[in-house]
Amino acid sequence: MTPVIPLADPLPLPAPPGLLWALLQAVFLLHLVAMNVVLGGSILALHWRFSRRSEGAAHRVALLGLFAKALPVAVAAAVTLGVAVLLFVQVLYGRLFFTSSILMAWLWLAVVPLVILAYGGAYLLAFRGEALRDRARGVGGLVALLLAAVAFLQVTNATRALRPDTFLEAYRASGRGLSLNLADPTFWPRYLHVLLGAVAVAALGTALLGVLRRRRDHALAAWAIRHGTTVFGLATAANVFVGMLLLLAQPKPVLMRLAGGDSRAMTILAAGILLAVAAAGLAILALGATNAVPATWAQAGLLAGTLVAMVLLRDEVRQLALRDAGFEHPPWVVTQWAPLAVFGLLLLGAAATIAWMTRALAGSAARVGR
Amino acid sequence: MNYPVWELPAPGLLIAVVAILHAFVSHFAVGGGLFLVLAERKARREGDHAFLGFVRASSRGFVLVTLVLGALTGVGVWLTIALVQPQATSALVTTFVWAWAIEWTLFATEIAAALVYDYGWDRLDPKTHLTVGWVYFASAWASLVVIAGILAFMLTSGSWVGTRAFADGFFNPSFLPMVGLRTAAAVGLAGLYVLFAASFLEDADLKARVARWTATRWIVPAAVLVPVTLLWSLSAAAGAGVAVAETLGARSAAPGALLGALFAAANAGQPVVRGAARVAVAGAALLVVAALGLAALRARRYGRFEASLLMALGIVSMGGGEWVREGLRKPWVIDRYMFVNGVRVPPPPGAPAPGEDPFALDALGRRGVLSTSPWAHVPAAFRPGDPAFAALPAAERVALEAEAGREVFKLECSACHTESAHLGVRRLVRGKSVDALLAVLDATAKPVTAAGRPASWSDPGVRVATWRGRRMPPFAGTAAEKRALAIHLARLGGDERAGLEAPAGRGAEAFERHCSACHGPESSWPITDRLRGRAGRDFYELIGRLPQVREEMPPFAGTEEERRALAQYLAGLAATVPADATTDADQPPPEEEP
Repeated sequence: MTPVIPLADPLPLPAPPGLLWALLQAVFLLHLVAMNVVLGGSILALHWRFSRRSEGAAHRVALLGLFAKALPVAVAAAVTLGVAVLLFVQVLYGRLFFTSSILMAWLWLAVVPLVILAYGGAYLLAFRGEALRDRARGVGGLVALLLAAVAFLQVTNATRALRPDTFLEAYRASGRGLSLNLADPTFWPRYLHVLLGAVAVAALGTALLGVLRRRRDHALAAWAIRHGTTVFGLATAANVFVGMLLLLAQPKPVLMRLAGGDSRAMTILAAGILLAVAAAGLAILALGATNAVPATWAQAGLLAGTLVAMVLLRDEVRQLALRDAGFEHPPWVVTQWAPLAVFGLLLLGAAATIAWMTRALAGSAARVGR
Repeated sequence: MNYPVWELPAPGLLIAVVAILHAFVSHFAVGGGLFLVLAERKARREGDHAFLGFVRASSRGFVLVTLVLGALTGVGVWLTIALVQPQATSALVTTFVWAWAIEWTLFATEIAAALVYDYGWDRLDPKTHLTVGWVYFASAWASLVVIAGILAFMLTSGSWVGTRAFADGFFNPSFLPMVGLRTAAAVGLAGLYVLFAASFLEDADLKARVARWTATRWIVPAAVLVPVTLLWSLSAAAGAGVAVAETLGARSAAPGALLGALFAAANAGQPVVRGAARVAVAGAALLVVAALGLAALRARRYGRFEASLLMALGIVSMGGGEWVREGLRKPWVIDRYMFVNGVRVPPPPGAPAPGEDPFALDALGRRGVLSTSPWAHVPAAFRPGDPAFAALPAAERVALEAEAGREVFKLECSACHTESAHLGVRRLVRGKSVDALLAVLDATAKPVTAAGRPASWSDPGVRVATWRGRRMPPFAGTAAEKRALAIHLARLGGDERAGLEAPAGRGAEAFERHCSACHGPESSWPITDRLRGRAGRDFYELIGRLPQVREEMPPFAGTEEERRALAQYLAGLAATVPADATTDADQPPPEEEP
């Protein structure tokens, strides 16, 4: 069907689209990392809770304790950074985002209670974990399930927003706000890509935790590095394959541009694939290394590069899809310099204040530890 | 109408529930932050370990509620308004993206400080811990200031309408009063939370000390500051053109007049807003009395039940207050820029604009809402003005009109109304004719000057004149679309032949057009109850002075010929009225009318 895109407001954009775009990519990258730790960590924790292998059982319990304490902070970070993403998505792509959200309104709104419940579960595990005993498995499973459901809804909205040609048909089918997007060929590969990516990031986070704690608890550190590296390698390798499926599921004009028709898009795609393959390969090689620390940091570097490439690639796919649909940013821009400057100053102030508070807390923890 | 319409049973109610919950939690987060630092400082200075222990124990619950409920219900409000009012949300985001971004930096600092404060009780030295507490409170309050600026902008957009400049919108006439009011409310809610947290204490002496300290230092100041800042807010809003007195059914926006009107039995103002205002004022007064009484008489013995009741009263009062703010804003969603149904007004002369706005009132009036909205599902054969459409059999043509009217209803009315659920129109239009409904649609909000003279919606200082305090936006669309909507509504009201039969005679036609919206057979004030003993000349004379007969009645807006025909028609009806029918034209009517 013909793409239907709501008209832009008769108001000027408050900053050049390029600046808003850069801010969107930056906060999305940070949100992605926090979200992957939360979602992937919850799935990984589920594996630790339900594993019956005697080898590493004590280490799994120790890691579960550490993860439970970190989870509320990670959820807070993911939510806070997600709010910033929401803001810049709305100002740049609101016409698509509002429409896709309305088509799945009840489901989209369900994200809020789902995250509240997951957050509540995270706090329960953090502060009442021991008292819960066997019920901690159930709570942990519920938290992972809730977060996976949130990811499912997010993917539904994101894939729908790229297809304004399906808006009218979906709306005519039902205006009650219950539309899913399961018929979209990109949906399932994208959802699987998100889940595997989250597990990979959380697994490498586990390995890095091992690296950072190697002087405090050598045995735990060694197990965490080996376990984290193994899962990271496997999940990343699998995700390269799923990523290919996602690529092939793209609409033909988008696929053609990614495959060579658009040099920038192709370059980003190639960089993303190469970095991911390198990270997975290095993880497999690192399992045989005597000193895994340098290899873990190298994997972290490759993963950071992969994440940047994937964020940019995700945006390229959006640009390519929307260009075909006739979407353009409104040309009327009146930059609001004074509030922009206040924002910049407050951002620096916030970063400095948060860094000071975190350092004060971490420093005192180190003193307590000594 | 620029966006698809989410069909749900209670759009306004959904926003209200999510927003009130968030307003309660977020204000309490701000006031609670101040409580934590002041209470911790007091306990440390006085070496009161029991009190410090209480502060510490209550901080965990406080941080949990702030982080889990406060932050996420805030996201919930944002998602909800974007789903129900996407046009308005888009305008607010575009205009205030840097205000939201500023608020986000404060929000991020607040969340981080709350976590560090909670985790830092044993790990930070007292001075650093208190500093973190102050960081938490300062960022939470500054966040409140930013949000108050945007909410106040929606109520009184100030000179932004003419300039579209950020500062003109943000620093608008009701900004400072709203900051004051919300700060005072935050202090009061913090007091409530402390009373609630103290209800869990087993140490009766400590409980009594906390309750009395809270009552004198938190509840009493809030009880003074909230009414003062509320009156300041109402006065500022009225000064900026918000119809405060009219909506609340008062003769003026003076404090005494407003309070008197609220609890008078007058049939004026907007019933829902008046009800909400009564709930807010009575609830808050009861809350203060109950909290002070509890601290004075049961400070050692009160329990969770009493404390929970106080919290419930707090939510009810706060909810009533937020409801009033929303009600005062109508028919606008953004003052003098956008109506609650997403229709915009044309920009004032000289205001920056990118060209003609297809969703502005004038453009919709020319081109029609059905052909402008890409989401409208209109039967292809509905082509008003086309000779082929006019030549269709009447039943077929009117059926098409009714179908088109349903779409017009969805696009223009469903931001507030449903067919049969919350604010359902079925009950409101029962028994009304197409002409009567056209009269209602013509009697929606009108633009006037501050002196009450007719104006244009594009005038920067435009005020809203409404019919009997009902604050519905003006109809946007063509005459054919208006008729289609009226037919749809009349059919909803039970008249299956609506649009097919015209009233017999000019007098009956004039009655349908000018009177039957209020005085039709199934209305609240049927005309037959008011006719006996009057002749044609009496009716002619009465029609000429309707507002003097009852002040709610508008002056007769028809022609002289219609007036004469109407008087004769009423005289004819009077002759058929049974002798025992009521003749008291001044009996107070009930309040249930659209």
